[in-house]
Amino acid sequence: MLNVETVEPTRRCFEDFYEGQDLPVVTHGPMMVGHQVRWAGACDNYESEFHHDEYVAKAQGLPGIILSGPLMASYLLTAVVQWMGRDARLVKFHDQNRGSTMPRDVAYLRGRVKRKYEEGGKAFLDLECRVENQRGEVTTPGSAVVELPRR
Amino acid sequence: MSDTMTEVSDAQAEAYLQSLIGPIGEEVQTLVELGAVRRMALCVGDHDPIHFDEAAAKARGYRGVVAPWPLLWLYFFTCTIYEHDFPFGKATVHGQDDYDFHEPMIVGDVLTVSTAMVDAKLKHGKVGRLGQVVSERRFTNQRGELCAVLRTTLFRR
Repeated sequence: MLNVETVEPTRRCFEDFYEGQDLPVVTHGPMMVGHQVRWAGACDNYESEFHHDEYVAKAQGLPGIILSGPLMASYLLTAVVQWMGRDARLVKFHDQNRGSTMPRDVAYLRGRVKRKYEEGGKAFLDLECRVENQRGEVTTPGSAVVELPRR
Repeated sequence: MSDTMTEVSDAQAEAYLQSLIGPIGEEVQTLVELGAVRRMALCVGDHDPIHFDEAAAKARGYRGVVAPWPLLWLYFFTCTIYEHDFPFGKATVHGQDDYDFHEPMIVGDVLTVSTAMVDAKLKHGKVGRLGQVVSERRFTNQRGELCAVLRTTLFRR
């Protein structure tokens, strides 16, 4: 069986966060066609040739290969999970595919605590998050609701 | 313009969009496989041991190895109908996604995936006519527990 070096996430609690807090930037890339191919394999979906064949992409009028929107959103969702720690529960996630990510782009995943509150005896954070490229363009804006344990 | 857009009236486009509302295809059942979970976790860079090691997952209170939420896209592509034969416009764009998460998906679970079109409308904007459709996929495990709801918005222009 494939050996994977796993990493036990840090436990974080509601008290560890404050409104307006910037979360650590996560960097992916430079993105390569291989990232897209790996995503296609994980989704068992190879139908959209423009995602992995530059000739086809250009023939369809695109500037080149475009990486999958759900791939970039999944990186962002995973960053949210990792920012929040091992005992957090992701409740909701939203993303928009606003801009393209192409091979050799760098993806900077950024997040901020927008709101911190309690509801029904449970503790929640509302997060704003986004994927930006090396030009500062927001390609994937998003948001999330996370339930956190109390200390 | 001579593309198909000019050949389909707004009323016809609206009627087509409304015809999409309701269930799409049959419910599909699919097994949450360990290999699929590992592939997706590695793909998105989630190295939490709960996605790889049953003992680690159980020590954290789960029934077994936990699927990372992006695995929903495997079932989206392999278990559901996600393309539509729009009679107007030239291109379909994947606009946005909204996820609600409930019970974790565990390796060995059998998920029932159901799909429905829940909203469809015709808009007119700066770039012309725009169709907007929202499909909803519900993922329920063999215990009858809702695991996740994924709503996907497509734009047709």
